[in-house]
Amino acid sequence: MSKLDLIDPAVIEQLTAALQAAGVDGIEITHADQSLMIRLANSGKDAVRQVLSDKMGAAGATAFVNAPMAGEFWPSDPSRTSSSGTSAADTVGFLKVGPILLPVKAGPSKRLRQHLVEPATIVGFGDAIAEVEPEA
Amino acid sequence: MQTRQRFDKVLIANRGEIALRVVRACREMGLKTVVVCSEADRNSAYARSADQSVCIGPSAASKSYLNADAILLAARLSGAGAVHPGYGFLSENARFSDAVEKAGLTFIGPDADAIATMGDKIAAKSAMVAAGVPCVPGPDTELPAEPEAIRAIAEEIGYPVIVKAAGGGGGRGMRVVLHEADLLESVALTREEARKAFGTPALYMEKFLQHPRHIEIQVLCDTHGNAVWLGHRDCSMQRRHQKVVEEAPAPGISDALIGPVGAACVAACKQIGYRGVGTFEFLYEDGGFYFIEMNTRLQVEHPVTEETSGVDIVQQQLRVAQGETLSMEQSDVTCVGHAIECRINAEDPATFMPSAGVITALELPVGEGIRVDTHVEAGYKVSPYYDSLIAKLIVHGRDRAEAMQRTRSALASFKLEGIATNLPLLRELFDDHAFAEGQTDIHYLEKWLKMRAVA
Repeated sequence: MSKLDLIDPAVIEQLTAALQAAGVDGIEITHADQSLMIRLANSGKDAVRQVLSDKMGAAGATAFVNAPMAGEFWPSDPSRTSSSGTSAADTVGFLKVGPILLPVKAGPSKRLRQHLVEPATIVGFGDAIAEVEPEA
Repeated sequence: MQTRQRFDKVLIANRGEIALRVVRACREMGLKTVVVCSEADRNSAYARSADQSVCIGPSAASKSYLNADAILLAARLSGAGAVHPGYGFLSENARFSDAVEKAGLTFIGPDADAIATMGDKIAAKSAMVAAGVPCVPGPDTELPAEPEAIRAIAEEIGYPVIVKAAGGGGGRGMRVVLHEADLLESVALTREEARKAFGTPALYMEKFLQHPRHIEIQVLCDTHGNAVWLGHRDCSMQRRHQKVVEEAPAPGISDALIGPVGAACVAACKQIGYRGVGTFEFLYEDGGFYFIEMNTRLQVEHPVTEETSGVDIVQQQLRVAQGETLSMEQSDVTCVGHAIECRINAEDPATFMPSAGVITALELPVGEGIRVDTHVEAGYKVSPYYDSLIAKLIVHGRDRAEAMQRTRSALASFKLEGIATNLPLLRELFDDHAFAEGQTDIHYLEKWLKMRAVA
């Protein structure tokens, strides 16, 4: 069986559809260099998909987090007010495409150093959206 | 009839010269454009020529230009109301057409049913027979499994015959049978190839024409039951089923001879409720036309028809997709002069191996009747990931002789350095006497290349 490309939009769509059809709340898949977490809330109507795309440099160096797909960049969840909730500490931002909201993670033992694009900017696949550094 | 615009922003699901060509047409009509691109194309000047460009995936076409989900996400992201598929990639993919429409967008091309029908060679032939379009002798049904029945069909058609995959195209999945002794083995081999390559073992059989020319008819149809044909083209100058030079009109074909064929194509379009542009491809031999397939998209060679008919075919596509009624009737279509298109490919002129690299110098020919459709410029990096077509030289003249002479001059002044191209081969070809005379068949270029290699 060939290895799934977890940042392929078609794969994300297929997995989401399969979870919805099976009535499953979520799934997490981890490869050596990619992780994908899909959580379905509200009976699957508002899918929250979480990608850990890590193509980062060696530990100890700053690195860039690239957009795993095209989307509108938001540094925080645009559907939440600042007081209603917080994002996971290692989430560097979100990509929004219509009803899809894709959290983008810093990766293992990394933290956000700075965002590289303004909120609401449309970014393409592979665009650098944040700079991260090793956790102290 | 002017209708309310269905869309004001078009996403172009393609790359290279055709992406730029569609951008130009949209801009002239006041439509905004979004070009999707792969990582290999993201820094190309042509991608930036659109109002917006969105990188949708890695360089491999399967992850970008063939990734329907990524394209639809980009359409949603950019607010595009329509998708223009260009040619190649997903342009003749019925499921993509359907997915675009289901996403609430306009697919600038025919509906999924028409694409599916014409993609199945048996169904297409059956539809053409029903509409009175002349077809190659042979049944418009799938070849049976029984050896005796297969032998009987071949006997009735008369050898040589050609066995073709129903789901094939582009010169793949076919085998010529010269004698009965080779028939059953050829059928078995082709059936296995078809099953592996096209997902269906369905075959059909036709008379094999030995010295045909490739003639095609351009049609344009709206969604209100109107259709016209915009003249004919000769695309016989081919290597391995890939067109190298195209021209309009086809030399030596009288209006009286092709007129009924064009009318039959229009009738077929109306019968199947076809919308948008399309091309009926025929083999032509000894005064007879034989339908081979219909391309349900814009063709690479559409500019030669634009030059002779004066119709901007891409703009017409956009108008039809907006729901407009055709602004012309058949009596309004007049073709003037002669046009020739040369495909400029990034490939070695002797070995035909693709040539990737950076174009270090580029000077395009200019002058009366000369048009160049290209996305490249000096400094452009030709990627190894895609088709080698980097430019189309289109030349128009008052007659074929003038068009040929202008093409020779344009080829001579076409300067492109840094990578290998087929320009030297084209220059030689346009000095060939038989080609200059016209009416060479589809095998001529292959023979000419063999003789050239020996000399």
